[in-house]
Amino acid sequence: MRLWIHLAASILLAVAVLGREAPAQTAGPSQYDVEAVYLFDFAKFVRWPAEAEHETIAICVAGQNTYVDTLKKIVAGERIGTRPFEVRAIQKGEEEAGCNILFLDSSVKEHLDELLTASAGKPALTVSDIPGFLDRGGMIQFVLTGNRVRFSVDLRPVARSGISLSSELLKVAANVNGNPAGGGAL
Amino acid sequence: MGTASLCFATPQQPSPPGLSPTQLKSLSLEQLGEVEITTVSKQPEEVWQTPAAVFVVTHDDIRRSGATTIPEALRLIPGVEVARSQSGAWAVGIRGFNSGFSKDLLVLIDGRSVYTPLFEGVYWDVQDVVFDNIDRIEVIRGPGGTIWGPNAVNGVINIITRKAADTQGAYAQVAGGGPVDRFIGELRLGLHPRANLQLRLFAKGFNRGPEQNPGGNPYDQWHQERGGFRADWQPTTRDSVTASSVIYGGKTGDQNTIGEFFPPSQLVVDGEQIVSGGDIVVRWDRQLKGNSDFYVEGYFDRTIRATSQFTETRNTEDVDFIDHLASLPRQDLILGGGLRESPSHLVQTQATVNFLPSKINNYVYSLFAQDTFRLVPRRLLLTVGSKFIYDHYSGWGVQPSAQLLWRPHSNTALWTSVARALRTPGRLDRDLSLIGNVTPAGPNGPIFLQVEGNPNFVPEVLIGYGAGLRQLLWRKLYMDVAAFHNQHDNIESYGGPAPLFTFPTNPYPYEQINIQFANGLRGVSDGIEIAPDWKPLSWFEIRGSYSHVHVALHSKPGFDQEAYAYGIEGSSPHREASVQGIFTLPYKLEIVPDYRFVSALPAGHVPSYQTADARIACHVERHLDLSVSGRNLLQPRHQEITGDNSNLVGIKREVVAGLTWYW
Repeated sequence: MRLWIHLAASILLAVAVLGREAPAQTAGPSQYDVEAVYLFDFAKFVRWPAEAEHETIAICVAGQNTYVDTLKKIVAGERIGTRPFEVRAIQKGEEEAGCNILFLDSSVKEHLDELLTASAGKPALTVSDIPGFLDRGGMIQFVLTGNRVRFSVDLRPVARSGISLSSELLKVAANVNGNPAGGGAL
Repeated sequence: MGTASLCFATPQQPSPPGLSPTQLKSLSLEQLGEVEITTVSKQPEEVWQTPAAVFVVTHDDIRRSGATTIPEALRLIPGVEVARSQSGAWAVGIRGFNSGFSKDLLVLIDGRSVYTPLFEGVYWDVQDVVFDNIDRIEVIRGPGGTIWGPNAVNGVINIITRKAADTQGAYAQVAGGGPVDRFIGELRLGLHPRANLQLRLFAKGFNRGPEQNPGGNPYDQWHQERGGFRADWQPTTRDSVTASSVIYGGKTGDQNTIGEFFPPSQLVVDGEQIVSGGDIVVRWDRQLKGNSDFYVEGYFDRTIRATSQFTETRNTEDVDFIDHLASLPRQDLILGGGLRESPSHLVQTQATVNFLPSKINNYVYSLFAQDTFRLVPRRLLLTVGSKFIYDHYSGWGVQPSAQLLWRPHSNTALWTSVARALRTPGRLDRDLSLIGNVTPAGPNGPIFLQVEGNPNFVPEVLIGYGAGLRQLLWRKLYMDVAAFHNQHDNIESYGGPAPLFTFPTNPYPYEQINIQFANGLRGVSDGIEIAPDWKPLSWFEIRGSYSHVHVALHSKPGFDQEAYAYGIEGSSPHREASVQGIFTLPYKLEIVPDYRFVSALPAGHVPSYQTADARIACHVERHLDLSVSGRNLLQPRHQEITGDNSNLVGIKREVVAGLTWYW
């Protein structure tokens, strides 16, 4: 019994003391946060075909609203060249035309094939954290390596969509499938 | 402790703490890939979408707990009652009805059912794996999961091992030094001869000492050795095939009281159960168009157990098929079926225990259909289904269920369910014949009790109502609450009346009371389980659990079995609580203390207890981890449940050290 009291007291003490000492040190960013920042960063390393050069860079999200809110905060006031960002939540069956980046989160897993078929050949960079996304025809898949978020790329659907990815992006990727000489890379 | 000074050979760059999304923007892509993320909602998306009390224990959770046996790892799960009765035996129950013969659970290892139709329970001593091979343990409390097989009355325990692709390279672990965990050794080698073929070879052995038995008798020491392989093959991008096999052998010490019709009437025998067996499991998964998929799994499992009273040899063959159709609009349809044959042969080695007939084939055929309707996609899901089971003792049984899940937003899920479940009879209920001495010699000789199986024993029936809530608050606090109300009928008891016969045999006359099992009880059970998980800091997490269960049974008309009812009601703790702290510090130093309280078991005269464990682990260098685990630290020994020969064994305090190499 006495040992238990000591144990409990030392846990509480550790939380109280260390928590106060470093008030800024809250929990690390969530997977969502890191993935949302990646989506924003990807826009800098992608060249879209001319027909997809709209007034804005549209990041479309099919899935949970938490992504949309985080993304809106991240892209607020940001531009690439003269083009500002726009974040759109996509409901199932809705028009995906005009999306430059299409993010599919794990909650739309059941509709993945439909969504990918609908966007096939269109100049939208498809990104997801759903396992097996690349095997199903996606372009960029987030993968967890330990507690870190990395990404893998499949260049074949990228090439079919007319999008070009910069070699800087491919250098950082954990894995690149498809032949880079196939025309996908810049 | 000295551990800290060993643990600094590989300085690790701590990741920048607590960056906000807008701060993360300033990082390069490379830096972004180095940011350590926090996963408070460790429950995967599937858990959020499950309309049942489901809990997942991950590989890391198990490692951090310092558990070295599967029952000990199950202590991490709220609502699961684990009581060690001696060094090599446990009683594991979910939501009451716990005993060494817990009959209401389905336990699966990679889809292979490990309960034995002999007593519709689990021999926990032979359920072992290389611990580092465990991917996760999923537990569903309550009868919610329609698609599961027979005996999933109070819950399902599903142990899933890692893919061979996840265990590449070499691994070795030695642990030991405790009075019970004297030595545990694990070896593993992962290979990938081709890009689409991965292999794992493994071996394990252990030697465990006795717990504190009456008089210090070390009868319950035991050892076991096992080895096997797993192969994963992906012939196409849509197919995967897995084959695995294990063989094992060992000796589990026990103690028995054997009745004899001559003086001294009863004999206490220290013995060894010689256990051996093996299995082969093959599974084929195929992805179909439009997110549909199916799998077929078949296995062969052989177990041999030679106790001081009988030897049972059992061969189980099983084929299961599950087809998941996602092509219907707003629906997910799952159809499946299974065939299981389990012929066994029992050889009696003691006159007073027998199962008749000695050769029997316990077979079970099952079919099920379950449809999930997305009433509002991702927000409101209705699941209805039924399982149809044919078992050779009781014929067809229907087990329907319905569940509703409402997810107002991604951080909240509410569910409710109703289900009917059956516990089919086992050989114990039907075929047992056991004679035990109850009193020493009196004027008419000693009195013996003969307990017999009942050929008219019918399945126990449960109608279960459940509801639950999952909530993630401020991304840091995860709450999981589940409550249930169960109605039970046809619960096992003794029948009546119990006639007394006098046997004036010469030279040793005796008297005998004959009783038979019967379905003499009915009643209700209620309870609640609460499991919060709070991660206030990137390096500190605290998890708690509290569970309460209340069982109230009474005799059905024509029965007077209040004593039996009390035995069941009082065999599980009413309340259990636990707290676990997880400190993840620089230099991969992990400190994990935990505390648990378990209330008394009135029926077994076991007092309540509280105790604590703690584990410290660190990297000594890149390929070498060191750990020290303390178990049951608050007292030299405590009692959990009665074991063999009705002994109330003291479960010892111990400290175990471990070394792990990865290449």
